[in-house]
Amino acid sequence: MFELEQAIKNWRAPFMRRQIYTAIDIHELEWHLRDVIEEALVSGLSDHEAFSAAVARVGQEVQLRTQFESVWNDLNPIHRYWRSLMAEFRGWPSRRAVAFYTVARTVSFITGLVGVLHAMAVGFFLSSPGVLVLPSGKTLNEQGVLISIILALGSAFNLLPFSQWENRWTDWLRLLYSTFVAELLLILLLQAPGSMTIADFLVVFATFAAICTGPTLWMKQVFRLRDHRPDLDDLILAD
Amino acid sequence: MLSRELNAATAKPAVLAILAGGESYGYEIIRKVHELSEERIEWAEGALYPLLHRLEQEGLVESVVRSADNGRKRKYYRLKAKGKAHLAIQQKQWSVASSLLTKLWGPEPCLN
Repeated sequence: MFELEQAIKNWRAPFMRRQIYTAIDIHELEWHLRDVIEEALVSGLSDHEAFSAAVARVGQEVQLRTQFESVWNDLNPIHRYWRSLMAEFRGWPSRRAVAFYTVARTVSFITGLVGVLHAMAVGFFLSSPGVLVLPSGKTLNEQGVLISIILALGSAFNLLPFSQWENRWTDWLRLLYSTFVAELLLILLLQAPGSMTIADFLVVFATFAAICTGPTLWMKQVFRLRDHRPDLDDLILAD
Repeated sequence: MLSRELNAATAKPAVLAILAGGESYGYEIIRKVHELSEERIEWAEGALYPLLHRLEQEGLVESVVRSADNGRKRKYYRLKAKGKAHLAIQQKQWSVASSLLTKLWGPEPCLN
């Protein structure tokens, strides 16, 4: 049995997965598709035939991508960033979740940045006494650990487009990646790279990743993002 | 009916000309093109939107989302002053090209 609404939803899904389409772009294409379907139904076609005819006329995501991409590429970087941010919130369950996430990422980003600048000014990181003893015998002090964690979380929140996570492996790869970036940044900014051994690096990396896992898991659970599939109503959120 | 290149070249002035007649939305613009070309020009309908978005980026048109009389929402596009000026330039250029070809081909199109 052919389900027209389900078929429209399936047609729309690939558009939702790409940031080059704004919510309103997707709405606009769907309104057009529905107009063509209506026209075909009036002329006596069945639901299935009307849908197929409309898709043939309007096109599928893969057929329209190149043209939309060329418009996207001509946007200025700030506009592009803003649109990708909006696309990221597509499918989020509530405005409250979006607001919370935005505040969390802004705060973690700013505190991380201030922390790094402060650390550069006073020159610390590896010192004694500290809270984390590294294999080489060096220790990380409390402030260093705290700032590193905030920075790692900040980059995790800023680099992870939650709603576009496709499967559980890419989630964790991105989390590890942002932890790696945060740690590398700290080492480059605060200490000569030679002052840490590879074993030290791995221990710090494992510690940061472990600490960042909690909040990340929590965010996913709280906002039920894992199994959330965006629907048309959700798109209005990003308008 | 038209080659890809010719389609792409005519789309911009055609859309601007349609919008010069009053605000409109994607589906209506497509219908108008079909109607005026007696169904001889067929555009890939979804591809109209990137074109409209580009015109908007260039500041030639502006858009607003509104509910139509039947309660359905639509995104209406309207020509801006810059769009009108651009259309006037395009009209001049196209009439030069068209008059050249008409003179070369004679009043009736030569199909041999």
